[in-house]
Amino acid sequence: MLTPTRIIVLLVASFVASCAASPSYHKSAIAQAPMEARNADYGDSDASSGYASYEVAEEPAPPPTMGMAPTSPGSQPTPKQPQTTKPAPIKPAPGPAAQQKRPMLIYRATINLAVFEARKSIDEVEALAKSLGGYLVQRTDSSIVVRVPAKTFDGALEAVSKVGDELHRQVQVQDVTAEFRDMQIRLKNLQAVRARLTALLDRAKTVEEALRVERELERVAGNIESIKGKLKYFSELIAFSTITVNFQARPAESIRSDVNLPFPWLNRLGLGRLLDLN
Amino acid sequence: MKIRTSSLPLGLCLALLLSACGPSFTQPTPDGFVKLKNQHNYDYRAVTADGLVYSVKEISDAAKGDTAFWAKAVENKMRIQAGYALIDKKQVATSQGLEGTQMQFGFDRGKTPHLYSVTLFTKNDSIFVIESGGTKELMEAHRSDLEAALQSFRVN
Repeated sequence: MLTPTRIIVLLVASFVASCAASPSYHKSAIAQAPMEARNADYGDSDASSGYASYEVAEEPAPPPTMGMAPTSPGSQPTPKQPQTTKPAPIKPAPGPAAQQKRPMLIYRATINLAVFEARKSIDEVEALAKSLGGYLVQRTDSSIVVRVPAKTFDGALEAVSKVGDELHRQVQVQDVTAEFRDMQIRLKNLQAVRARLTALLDRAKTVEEALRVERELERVAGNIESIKGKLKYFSELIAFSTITVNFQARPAESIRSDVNLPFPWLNRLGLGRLLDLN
Repeated sequence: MKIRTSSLPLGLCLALLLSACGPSFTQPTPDGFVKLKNQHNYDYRAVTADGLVYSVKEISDAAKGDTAFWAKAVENKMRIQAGYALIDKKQVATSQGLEGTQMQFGFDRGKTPHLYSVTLFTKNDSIFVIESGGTKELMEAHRSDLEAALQSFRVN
């Protein structure tokens, strides 16, 4: 039985529920936010930038399999959808946005090969890198640095180790995901600032005002180029793994912890002593 | 006169001791090599006219390690600490029937590839270390001479 009290409670409850479901409050809150806060709305993209298509969110997006089909605010579920409004899974669209979900890793390896027929082995390492779609970075008489596509990194390491007698190997992985995404956010913010400064420049009434805005624009443009350069550098390091091959014994200090047997005659072996006839 | 008679057995003892301190092996000089005299760090060393060297050292094995132990110690020393490439490691035997381990290493001196061979035998609490080395070209040219020299090595 509906008493007046119950009717009031029900009315209040339905009003609160409709308010919570409506996105209009959220929208208006954003619209009223100060300009500085809106800079954090990264939907403002610069089509001319190579990084504009990257998806950036303050909170990590759910994994692709948990994605929700977008629905318009206040839309009613279709009859086929269950009343629980369980989201229908959608396939993530492949592309930069999807790629950004993966950790961004930079792989580097250093291999020490024994010092034997170094020149021939260096030629082989260079040819190997090129055959994998990589390239030569640096080459001396006793070392070579190459970059190979990241997906071929493991195979390249195995192939390099067969070029000579591998004495030591060190592989480093650097996770630059946070740094990379931070730079993307800074870039988008700066692009937004640049757009607003450009608009301000159009509205400048005096030469002095125009000059002041232009100086600021110049500073912002410099920062944008700097960040773009860093992003490009990072992208290249992520896409191509670096392999350094040294043809030399490991430095004594790095093997000091290894077992050093107390038999002095072992230290008197080698070509240097054998071939010294004086 | 008394002194002279008492010094005779002492002299004999010294002679025996000195002979015992000498190398307890025989190494015929390989074809194309000449034996070098007054070698301080080697018990035997011979060289070809173009600089290929063959040598033998006898080391007292107080630790009484077997050939496998010493071979691994030499391998680690040469590879990890000296940067030599291990090209081959195999078991060898002399015509006397002495069994040992031979390791072939590669190493660039300057820009020239060299080969360095170390063969180890253990017997009578001694380690016999036979080394040969030179440019890769020379070592390959004299391979049969070096193998013959190793075959003829004998422990007395």
